[in-house]
Amino acid sequence: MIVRPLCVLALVISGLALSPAHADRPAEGPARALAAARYVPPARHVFVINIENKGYDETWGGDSAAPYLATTLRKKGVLLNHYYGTAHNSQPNYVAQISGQGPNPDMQSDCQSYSTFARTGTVAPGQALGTGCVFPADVPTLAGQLSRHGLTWKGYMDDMQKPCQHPQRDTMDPTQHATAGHNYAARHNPFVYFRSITDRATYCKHHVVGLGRLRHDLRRVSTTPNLVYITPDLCHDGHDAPCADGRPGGLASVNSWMRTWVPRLLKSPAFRRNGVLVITADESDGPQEDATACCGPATSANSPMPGILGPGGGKIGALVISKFVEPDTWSTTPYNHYSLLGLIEEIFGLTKLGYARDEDVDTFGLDVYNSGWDE
Amino acid sequence: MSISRRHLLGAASVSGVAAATGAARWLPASAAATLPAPADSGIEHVVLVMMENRSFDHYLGWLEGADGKQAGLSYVDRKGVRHKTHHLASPDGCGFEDPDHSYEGGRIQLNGGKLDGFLKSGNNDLLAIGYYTDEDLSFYSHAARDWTVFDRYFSAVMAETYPNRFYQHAAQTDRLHNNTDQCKLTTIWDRLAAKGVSGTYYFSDIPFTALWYGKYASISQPFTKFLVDAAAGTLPAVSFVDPRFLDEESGRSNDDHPLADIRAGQAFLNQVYDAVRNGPGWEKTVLVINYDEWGGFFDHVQPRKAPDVSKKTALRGFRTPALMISPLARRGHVSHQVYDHTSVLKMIEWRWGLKALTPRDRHARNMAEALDFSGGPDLSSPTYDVPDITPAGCAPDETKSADWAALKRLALDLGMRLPG
Repeated sequence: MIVRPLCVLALVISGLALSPAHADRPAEGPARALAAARYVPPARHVFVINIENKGYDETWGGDSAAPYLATTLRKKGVLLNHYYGTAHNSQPNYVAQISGQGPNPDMQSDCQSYSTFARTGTVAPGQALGTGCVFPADVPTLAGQLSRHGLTWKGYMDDMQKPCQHPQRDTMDPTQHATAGHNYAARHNPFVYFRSITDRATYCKHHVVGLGRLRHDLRRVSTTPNLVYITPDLCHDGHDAPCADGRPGGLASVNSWMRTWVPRLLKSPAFRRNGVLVITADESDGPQEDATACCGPATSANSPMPGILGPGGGKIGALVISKFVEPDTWSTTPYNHYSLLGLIEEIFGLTKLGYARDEDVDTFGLDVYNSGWDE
Repeated sequence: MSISRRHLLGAASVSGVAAATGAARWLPASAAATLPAPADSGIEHVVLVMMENRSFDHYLGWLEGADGKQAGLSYVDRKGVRHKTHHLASPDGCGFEDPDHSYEGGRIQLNGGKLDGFLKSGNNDLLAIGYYTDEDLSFYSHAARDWTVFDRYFSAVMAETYPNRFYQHAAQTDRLHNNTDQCKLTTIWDRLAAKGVSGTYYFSDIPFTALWYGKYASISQPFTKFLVDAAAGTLPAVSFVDPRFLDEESGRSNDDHPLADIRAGQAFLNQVYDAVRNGPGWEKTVLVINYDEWGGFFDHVQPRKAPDVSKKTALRGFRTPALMISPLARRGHVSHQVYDHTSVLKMIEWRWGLKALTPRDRHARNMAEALDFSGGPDLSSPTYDVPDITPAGCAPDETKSADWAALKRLALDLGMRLPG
């Protein structure tokens, strides 16, 4: 008879057993990578797109102003209706996705100043304690993990004027507001908040590039990075409505941007071979609208209220499209941005960073990878 | 102590699963009964008790002669580990997650007809593939064997509580998820009123009728009134009786909704049974016990679509337990015909000459066809020894949602008088 205290953590280890699915791991794959758990599909390319400030119902509901996203694309994938942002406002959500670092008040105010992170200590799980926004060079990121393991990544930043564009350290961020000619926002580009990336100018310029570069990179599997991290600009991601140049913005602009770009991703040989596309938002409409959390830490090391008025960034939902996913299905299991980091790390055999290690943060299982590929 | 999914999923199946009891035996469906003229049927009272959130296999899968499966099934969890169905050791669900029974979660569990997703939705843990046997159910162990049980009775819609309860009152739902928006659907109460037929909704703590924002305040009465009316022989033609909903999360409700202590539900049902059979109206009464939906618990029979007002809600939910108790009921019988909540409405509409509410109830099978009108009423009814208990309850968990609490606030705001 099964009794309730099922303390079976040891058995989770058995879940890390051999997966024949990984036999085709490319030669450049990591020698010391972790063996993939049996629920992790043999994906080799992860594509991430974040739109801005849209709660679940607004984006995915029956009345969505982005019908291409909410209906056409939705039918191609699994919709996660309990996927949550981890913070308010925007910037710490992006940082969570690539590092597992929680927010501090400077980050929660979207890093008006591109300030140096002044570290006072470190606490588990891998959290730098301190104020400021640009993390010291030894704070690890998903990007660094991938590079170290011989895997590739790029951040594709819509409307970025030059590669690795970011403000001068400890000055005000001039990209906080769009202008008619400039819609790039540094605060939606998490890579430039880590000195492990920005201090290496050539490395940064090669990895944090304009969105236009993506069309070229998608042509061949060999030129498509293992991690393709895409941030549409302030108009295309729905942040502004109307946009600074008068375009409608909001979900209408999200819709037209998706209609242009997502088919390019879906047609690319890398995606078709073994890609996983995740489309989500950074956070809900705002802390007043929804500052709930599903899971993971209710407080973070540097902030008692990651969502300013609550524990999280609210319910936003996520759509996952992949050959490892059955079209037009649901997952109802709670996930958040730390889950996204953790699952990318699982796919590439990397150790989990920061709050991706939190015991209440789950990673996608066969509820998401539900095509039957494992059978 | 709290056990969450991370402790359960990814873990290998625990051995020592209890042995199967009562291997299911399939019986062919009996020929449809010929119904008498409604006025000559001998039915003057229909009493419906709607409990919460149990699937047929999980709750009645042990019953001889019914199509139930308990031991011997297995399900793969989100982490790729297969687990066997198992006998639940505790009468409450404390420490487990309430299994997902949402519109979306049901579709994950159904998985296009494979019925293999019961550990892949929401936070479902091993509670979702656990089962109870006759030894755990002091009312059903007798009542299910003595009266008529339905093993093709499905919840009306693959969705959670409010949608299914709307089907019970209105043969359709205006929403896919629980919320306290005003409902404007026409109901069986309107049909009864239009014909001058009496009907009362009896509730234990929260009146579901509050969702119509006061429209049915005058026909909504506390459960104590039901006991009095039954004893006095003053029950209306149609009674809906609801259990205590509040405190489901803490295991102290008596509606059978996880994490409830199921002994409290058994005691409540026995109390209703005694009230009906010992009252002066017993001879002409049909008592139906059903469940709003499957609660996220495993079941092995695929639900199908039914005629409906909308494609979105045409898919029925998984099977739920259902019993019919009456001097006209077949004793020790299992019906294998397909029914859902609107089959109860159909019986009421047939008996009192009411118009159907929607295509669903218009096309539903009439539950009265399971009765035996040939030999006259058999007034005998056994007494069951069902201990009344006060559930100890689970450790508080403030993170749990509280739909019923929201409805309670609404009912109070509307000025409805609540017991206690």
